Amino acid sequence: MFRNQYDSDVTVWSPQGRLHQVDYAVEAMKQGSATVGIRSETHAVIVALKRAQNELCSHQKKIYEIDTHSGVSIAGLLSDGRILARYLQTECSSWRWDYKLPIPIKKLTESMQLKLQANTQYYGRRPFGVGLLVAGYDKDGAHIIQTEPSAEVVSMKASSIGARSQSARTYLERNVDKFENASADELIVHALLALRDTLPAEENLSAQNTSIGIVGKDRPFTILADTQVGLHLDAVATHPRSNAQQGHGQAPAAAPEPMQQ
Amino acid sequence: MSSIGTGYDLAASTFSPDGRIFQIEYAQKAVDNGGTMVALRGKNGVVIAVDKVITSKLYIDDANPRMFNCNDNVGMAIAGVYPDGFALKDYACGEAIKWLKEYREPMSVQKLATSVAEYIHIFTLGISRPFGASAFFSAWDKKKGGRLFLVEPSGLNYEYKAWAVGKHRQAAKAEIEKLKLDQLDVQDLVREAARIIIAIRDENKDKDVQIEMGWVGENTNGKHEVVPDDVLSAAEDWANAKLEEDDMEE
Amino acid sequence: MDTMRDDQKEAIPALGFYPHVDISTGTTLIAMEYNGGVVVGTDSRTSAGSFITSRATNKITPITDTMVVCRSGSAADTQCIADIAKYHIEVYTMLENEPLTIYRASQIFRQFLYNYRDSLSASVLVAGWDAKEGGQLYALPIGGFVTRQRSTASGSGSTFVQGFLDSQWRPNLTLNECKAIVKQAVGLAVFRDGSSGGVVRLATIDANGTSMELYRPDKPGFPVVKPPSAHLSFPPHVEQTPV
Repeated sequence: MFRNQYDSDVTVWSPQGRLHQVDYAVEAMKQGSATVGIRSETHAVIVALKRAQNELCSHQKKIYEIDTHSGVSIAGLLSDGRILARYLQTECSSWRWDYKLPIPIKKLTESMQLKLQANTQYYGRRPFGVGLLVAGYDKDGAHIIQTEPSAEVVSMKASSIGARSQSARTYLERNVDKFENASADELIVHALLALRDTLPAEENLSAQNTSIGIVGKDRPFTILADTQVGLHLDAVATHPRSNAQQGHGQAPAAAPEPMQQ
Repeated sequence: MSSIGTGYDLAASTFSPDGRIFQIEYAQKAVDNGGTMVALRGKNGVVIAVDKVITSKLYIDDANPRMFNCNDNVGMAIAGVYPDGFALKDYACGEAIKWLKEYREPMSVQKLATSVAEYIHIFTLGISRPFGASAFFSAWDKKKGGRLFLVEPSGLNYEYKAWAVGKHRQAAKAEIEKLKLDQLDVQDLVREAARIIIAIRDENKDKDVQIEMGWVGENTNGKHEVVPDDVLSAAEDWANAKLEEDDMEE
Repeated sequence: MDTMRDDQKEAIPALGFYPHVDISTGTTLIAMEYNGGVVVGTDSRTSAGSFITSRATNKITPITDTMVVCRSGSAADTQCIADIAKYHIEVYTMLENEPLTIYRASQIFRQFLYNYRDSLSASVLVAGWDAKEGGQLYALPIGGFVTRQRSTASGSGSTFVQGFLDSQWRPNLTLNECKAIVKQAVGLAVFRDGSSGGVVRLATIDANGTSMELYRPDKPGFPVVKPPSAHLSFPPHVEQTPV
């Protein structure tokens, strides 16, 4: 039934010093539709691919506003993600109550890390099956923070998580030097190009399945309206799709579970 | 491993027939697999160095630091699974703050190490899993000189002159034994720590790595600090030159 | 003392509120550091309103061999806190496996005085000797504020001798000089303060431990206070004996 006898519970170490349940939770994150985050000196952008269960169904919400200076996008079990987004919102508001200031992104993600870690150590819980990209802007500049179910939380120049996110990471790694001084609009285009690389050849980004969140200097966090998303997609459409994509354009081996978006 | 498949290694609350708790040993494995961490106590200070694995080039510089301050005087270096170590760091800082609040004086390194060890030990009794992380605690003052403690996943806590944990600990310890530690000042320790870390690297496997160091001693007036970048890169240059020189001789 | 809370002191039986009546509010506590230790001196009166409950109380409570606490405020509260703090200090000394500093002890007292400040009427002087800092004296007024002092007076008698102490303290006092000042200060305070009186108790704490002394008004050694003699107070035509 189990792959080995050490993978049934999060509180069991394998003889090699690994935690299989935690590793499996990371797999859950990898099944969710992709999201990409990039930061420049002044802005942080997150874009995400939304899935709809069927044609009668709305697209699932992938990006949440956390505070005026921060937002988050989710890959993995969206219901877990919603809980964590709500947690981040309450952290932000309680900091504002205590200090009358927006919470520093570092403090926000440190408390996030402790919350995630607890779910990898205590009996009777499971790790969160979700990865987050937190976009934020504070006195230290713009930030993209990536979190995983394993409680690895790390600040990044650019990041992508979710299904076929390796393709997006390839794009990001190739272009990482261009991000630092890019304008907000350029960042969005980079992010969308990276996100498009995660799609199979027969699919494309649309105003319906794409979500964009942006925050930066003098710009509170906003989730762009569909019309604005359309404008950015027009800019992206002028870039030809990379050939690298053709190689693994087929659909994922297993159909995604209903919860995983 | 003889433990596997016996069923005695599935919970921290289970002893094996020969009196071992395998779950603790497995947690220790998580530390043993991590980046090498070397800690040295010299004549006027303590230096801790770690070879950090940089998983992605998309990380910001200095992502996932492993050197922390519990208070101004006490340094903490975490080895092993990062989130576990971070949770320990959070606990240690909380203890240090609590102490300061209760007694209006900074908590000593020994008490901090003991308190973290007691906390870690609770997790070896069952229900939860043991921590997959170890922590070095360092401090220096004029009266007591350098202090260095290591707290392990088992909850053991010993004071050391010098020690190493992580992937290449055996090789590191062999190098440490060649040093005349009580003659080295903090600057020497930084150089030697860099040399040891670089010397024991597996050139084929340890590619995306970066050294991070913390120091505390007479030079910092008893305050624990992360070693500045320029000092660190100078030490690495010295170490590389020294290792090349040694190769030539051989 | 404690005039601020007069309005709270009406009993409200309907609410089950019975105000806490202070026993021994009137007190004189004097303490002073000298070169090598610290000397404390107190009166010995315990009163409940105008009634003197005890005229030979010991307000100097030993906590360790080299530390005492002088109590003022409610006798019940301060006795209790001294007991509890002593217990904590003993446990801590044992657990930490090293001698307790006077500073640490003052902080332990602080926790009680501060945490229970709304229900306590207690103020103490913590005096003692440790190897780290030598003779030390910490004043903890009601509420739990801690300050180290070279010389201090507290209790109702203190107001009468503050100036005297200011004029007498200087660096590197010898033991005998210090004792003389403290004893004299207690004598002066007791002379003028209606709520202090009885005997004078002195304690000296140094590296060798604590030694207590007692001075009775009917025996030699009791501090002498000689105010200027009074003029005749009746009109001159009334016959009276000169004072």
